[in-house]
Amino acid sequence: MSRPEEIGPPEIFYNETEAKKYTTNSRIQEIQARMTNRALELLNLPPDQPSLVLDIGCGSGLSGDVLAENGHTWVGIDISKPMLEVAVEREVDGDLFLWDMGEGLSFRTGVFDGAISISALQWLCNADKKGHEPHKRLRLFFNTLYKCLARGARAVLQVYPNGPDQMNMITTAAMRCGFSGGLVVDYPNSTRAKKFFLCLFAGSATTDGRVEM
Amino acid sequence: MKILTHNMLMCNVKGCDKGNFPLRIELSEPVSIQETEFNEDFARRLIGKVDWPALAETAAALGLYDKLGIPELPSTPPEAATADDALLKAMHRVLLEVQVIEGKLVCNNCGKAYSVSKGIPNMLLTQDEL
Ligand SMILES: [Zn+2]
Repeated sequence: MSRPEEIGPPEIFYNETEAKKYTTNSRIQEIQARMTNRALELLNLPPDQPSLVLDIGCGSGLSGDVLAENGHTWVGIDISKPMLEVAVEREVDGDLFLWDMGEGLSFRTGVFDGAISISALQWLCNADKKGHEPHKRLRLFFNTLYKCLARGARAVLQVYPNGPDQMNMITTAAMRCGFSGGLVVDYPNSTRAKKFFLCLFAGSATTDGRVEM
Repeated sequence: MKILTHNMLMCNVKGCDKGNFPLRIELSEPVSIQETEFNEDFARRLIGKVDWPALAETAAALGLYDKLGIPELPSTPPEAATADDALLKAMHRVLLEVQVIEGKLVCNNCGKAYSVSKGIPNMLLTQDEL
């Protein structure tokens, strides 16, 4: 089976039919939910605190459902209009934006308590359009993500890299934009189950809530 | 799009970094109001996140005080610890229950108009806006 990001850009690949197929596939639903729960665990939000979370590449809102079930308010961005329209039909709780993360995020400074991304970041490494420079788009994305996160907040990004070079390219870009943190690899010995979670910290908060930069 | 998210959203056009907030809401269909569960903790936490002058300006421009039958929101940040129930509930209603469905968001600085359709703002830029 070809990987979707090798077939075409996300806004083309996830057309209306694909968006519906994707969302109603029970295996995909289960995998998405499991990865979102894991991302939420790694996000380490204060217990029992309803938080404001950004979902990057939210698609039809499968990951957002998990955020809402956990009492969080979410804002989702995605470049596929059909996917977002499926989310609207499903009456998800989150707020949705048609947005290309490679163009940078323009939310005010420090507003989000955390960010997650499930299976979306690898798209950013492709040069789908004329003028797309993956390095530049990654840098703009991470720079602006850093800004809109509260100091000490985390971003947990699950990625399907096509190889170590791509993973390295993503991680390096994040670190250059001021993030600390690193890669968590679940089931490292299984080719099929192996999952990469890039865990990023935007500055660090001390235990009493003060922020150290 | 909820007013909460609008209150966090700036123009994304390259070089447009002054006067790029808040985006002016131009409705082509009345806002939709959907009741959502009130969470006091969350409302109190939002006090520190909200830009109060922008919130008051937007609520007045959309006529939300009349529409929702609530007292006017302050244009300066209230004290989070002492904010009373009435204020928190009014905040909750404006920020989380009002939805912009059809219209556009216009940048007062550069004039860029982001269309909103089915409640989804289109934030995509053109090549020369990057
Ligand atoms: Zn502008």
